[in-house]
Amino acid sequence: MTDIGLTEVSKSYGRRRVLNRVTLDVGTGVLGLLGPNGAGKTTLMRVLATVAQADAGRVELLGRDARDPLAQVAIRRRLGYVPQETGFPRGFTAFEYVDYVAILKEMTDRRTRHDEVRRVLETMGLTTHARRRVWRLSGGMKRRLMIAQALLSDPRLLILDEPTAGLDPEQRLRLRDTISTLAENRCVVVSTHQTEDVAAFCPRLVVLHEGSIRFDGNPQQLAAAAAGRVWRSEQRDPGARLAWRTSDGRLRQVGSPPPGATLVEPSIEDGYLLLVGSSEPVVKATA
Amino acid sequence: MTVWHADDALLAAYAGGGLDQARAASVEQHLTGCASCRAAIAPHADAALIARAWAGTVDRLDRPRTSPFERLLIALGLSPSAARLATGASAARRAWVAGCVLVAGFAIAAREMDGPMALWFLTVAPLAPLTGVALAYGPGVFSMHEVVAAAPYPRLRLVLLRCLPVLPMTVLLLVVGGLVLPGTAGAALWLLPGLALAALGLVAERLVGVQTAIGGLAALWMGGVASARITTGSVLGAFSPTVQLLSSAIVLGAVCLALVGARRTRSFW
Repeated sequence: MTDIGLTEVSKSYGRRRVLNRVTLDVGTGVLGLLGPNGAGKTTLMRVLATVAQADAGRVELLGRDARDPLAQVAIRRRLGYVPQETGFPRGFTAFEYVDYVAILKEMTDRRTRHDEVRRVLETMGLTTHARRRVWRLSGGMKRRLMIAQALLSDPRLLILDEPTAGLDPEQRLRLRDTISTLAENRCVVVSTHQTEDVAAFCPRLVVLHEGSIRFDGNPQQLAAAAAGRVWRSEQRDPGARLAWRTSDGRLRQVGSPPPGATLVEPSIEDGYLLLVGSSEPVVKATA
Repeated sequence: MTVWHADDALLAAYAGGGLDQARAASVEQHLTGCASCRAAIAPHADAALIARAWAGTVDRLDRPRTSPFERLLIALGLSPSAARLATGASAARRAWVAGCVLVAGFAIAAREMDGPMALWFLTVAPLAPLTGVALAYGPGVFSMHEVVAAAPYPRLRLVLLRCLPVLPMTVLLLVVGGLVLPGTAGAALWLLPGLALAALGLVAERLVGVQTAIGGLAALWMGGVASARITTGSVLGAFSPTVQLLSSAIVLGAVCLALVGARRTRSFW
């Protein structure tokens, strides 16, 4: 089943085009959205969350036209959204914050709503912090609180913009586990800068660059795009696009290899670096 | 330290409510001081009853505190969840203060308004506070804006609810400000029709829906301004002492109704 259907979607802010004829179909599972700053990721996430409207093209979410105001309400009832910028009113406790969002999600029966609030707080490991003021929570806890509110009323579509930002390594691992479990029976779109995140839990990833889709496939295919273009040597090669010294003291270099270079297995990061740094055409690798 | 322990049959009878009051009180007294008997009674306890009691206790602890203003709104007829949304708006302090400042600025500007501009300004006057509140809870000011924008709750109803903590606080600020700056208190009078329309709007939206209610009240107000212009030759007639008095009566009536309702439920203070 297709939960997200984008056809030739474009969006501009003033003269600057942030999304350029984006076409994408997404169903059950996790889709990782990768791209550098200013690539249009957040704008695309806002369009998917019905917070921003596309200027052109067709946006179909959960089988409905996202431009139709009545359909928007129906979509929002089955949508969970974690925006990139997370702000919290200072006066709320963690419980009160999620409870407030639950009312906005039309959960009017107090007892049922409170049970649901406790459920999502427990899912994100925040039960013991429910009565603490939000401004007293750590950055990682605030991030988890944002994800908790997105899980209210068991949404079919989850839009998570940079959910792992500000989390420590253990929390990131736990979140990967949570997202993977959630994605078993729903559509989850995760935007991130972290290539290791998409490699770890996204069976499908899309690389967005300058408002256009530059890659659509699985992490192995993205890594394979750099095959034959990553090598190691003792000396920095002037022809290398990027080079950095690794823990064994040798330089890992990405670009066109000089004759006789020792080629190494490329990683997803290598593929990504080559992709966003080049003007090569779109790689459509979805099986 | 006690050496006597209740036997299994006695504990089962106590747990099942089969003892008379005196014996039940005796067993209860013993259980408070005897860990061994507390452990022994556990298998006889009604698991469903314990789960319900525990859930009720946790809910009581977690439940957001109901402020007097929230109780007032519930007494006015607002549903508890709508009252929560209205008072929750004041937890977003920056947006709340911005709303109060914008609305107060409008009231002071309205007081100074004169000439042909007054016609247009005063025609939309009672709706201007709504716009001020909507702007104050918009992007860049209200920290939850993105989350709220992705929720299905009707936008207009939310703006109307957010007026409830903003407008009375602005009136209060202007009245208090009048003690320091002469004439400022008079500006509060310009907000009375807006406050009355917000109160009427909340009643009407339950009957006819939020869009019809706001549209109808806006049409009613514009009709009032037009008729004031025709009958008195000035749009200021729409803000005549009679209109101010009527608006005050509506606001006071709503507050009195709330207080009476609250006393009946004995839960206001």
